[in-house]
Amino acid sequence: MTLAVALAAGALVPAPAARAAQCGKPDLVDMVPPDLAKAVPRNARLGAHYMAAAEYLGEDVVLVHPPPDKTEQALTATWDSTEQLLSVTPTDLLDAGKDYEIRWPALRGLNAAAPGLGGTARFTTALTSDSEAPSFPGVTGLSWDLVREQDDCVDDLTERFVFDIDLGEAIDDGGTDGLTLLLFQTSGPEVNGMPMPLPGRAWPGTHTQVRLIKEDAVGEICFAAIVRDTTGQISQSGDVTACVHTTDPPFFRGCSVGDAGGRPDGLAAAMALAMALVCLTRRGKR
Amino acid sequence: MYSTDTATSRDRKLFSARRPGGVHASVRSLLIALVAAVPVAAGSCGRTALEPLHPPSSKDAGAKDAPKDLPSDHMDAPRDLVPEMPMEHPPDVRPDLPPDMRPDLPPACIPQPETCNGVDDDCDGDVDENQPAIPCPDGGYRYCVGGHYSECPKRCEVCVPGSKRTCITSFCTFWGSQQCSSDGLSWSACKESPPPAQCKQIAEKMMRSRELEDCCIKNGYCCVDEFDVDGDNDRTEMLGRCEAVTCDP
Repeated sequence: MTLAVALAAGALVPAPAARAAQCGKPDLVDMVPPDLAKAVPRNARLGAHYMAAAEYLGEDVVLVHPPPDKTEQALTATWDSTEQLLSVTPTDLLDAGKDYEIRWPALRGLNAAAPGLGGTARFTTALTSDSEAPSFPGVTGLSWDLVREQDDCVDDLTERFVFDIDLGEAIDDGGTDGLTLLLFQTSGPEVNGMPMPLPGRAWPGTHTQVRLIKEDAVGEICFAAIVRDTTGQISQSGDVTACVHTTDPPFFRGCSVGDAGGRPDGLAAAMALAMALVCLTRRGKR
Repeated sequence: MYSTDTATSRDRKLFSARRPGGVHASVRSLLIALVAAVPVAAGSCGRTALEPLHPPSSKDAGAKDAPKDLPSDHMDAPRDLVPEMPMEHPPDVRPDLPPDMRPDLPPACIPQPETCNGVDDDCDGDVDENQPAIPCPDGGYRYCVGGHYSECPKRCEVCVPGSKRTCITSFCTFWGSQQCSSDGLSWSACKESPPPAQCKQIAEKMMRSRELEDCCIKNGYCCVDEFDVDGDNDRTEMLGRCEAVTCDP
């Protein structure tokens, strides 16, 4: 559970401390539904997102059926390398109101010999299936900042524009645990008409973050979002966009007295002295 | 530049005069100005609290529709006591016409099949609703977002996190490598390293050259196409064995 929570929390932006360890590692990122999810629809398609370096080579995804039998069933998985999504559809409808467990495998990496981290999600099924598309108002707020952080992959500082995105409340008859957030950059220097998709992630709640490089992030930057439920139905929120205008560093933060006083050459003092001399000279002429 | 520089000699005299009490004339002027300004400001503030010359109700209630020939004793009467009078309208306002023929109203929505264009084509109040996701050839879907179908998703933005590619330096070994950042958004600088045995002689003889890039590609490395070996005018792409590096499926 600890692992699942940590992974879910770092869905879009891994914690700085964990970033070094994730350099090229094909770890599991999040699970849909997540661990300890309640009321998972009986017809849910189950999925897990992995890091971009992951490669699926046919590893088993195991569904553990409810007690007392706890039968383990290896399911045929589908790998979507564009979303880094490993997903399975149980062969039969899940039993209503029962406890299941699904084990997501550790995958190999494209550039790493050692496998990454897998995960296990325990969940309880609902009494019904998911039939309606989710309702979601879309992106509701947007702010930005620039960060420079040490990246241990490149052993150097990297500069990223960080966009804090507020999301409206999502509602689905299958519950929010089964939702996947799909974010799009709809405006920006590299967006030429067609919105750019960002990595799909498990529903993060009402807030998420996106990082972009400067070439993608300076100017009028807009985002839109939709959510997808476990049956693949999507919300009608793609027409709602939130925009912000960003500027290229360096940023001008205004003048301050403290800065002038801190000059080692005493320029401010010299200027004040010069002004006083000018005043005295003028007075003397009169 | 400042106003004192453009002041007349008389102004200067005023500014330099001193009172017996020692208060500078300019300070005195400033005080006078402040004293004079306070009542004005207060007055202007107070004026906003006064009843306007035209009561707000006249605007809010649609003063342009009030009959001009209303008897003066009715002007202050409550609105509901004003007798029914014929209404006057601007020439382009014709309430007697059906809505779709009135020039003062926005054009009526003519329902059409909804398409992904950021417009409410079917006049139901929703924009781009129920637009199907379009499957991409290599996986994933294109979605209708912001009035356009999105691009197909990719594994990463620039490069697979942690992957490496070979670059050709301008000095010393003429060989190096770049590492992809942990978020897959950028490459590191090209860091020099010894060339592999297969390309060592070419590096020593030809130095930074197209031949060295050819050697890089032929020996199974993922190489920056700095010499545009494939002739597509793209010198930032990668050629060679790049399956584990590139974001394209």
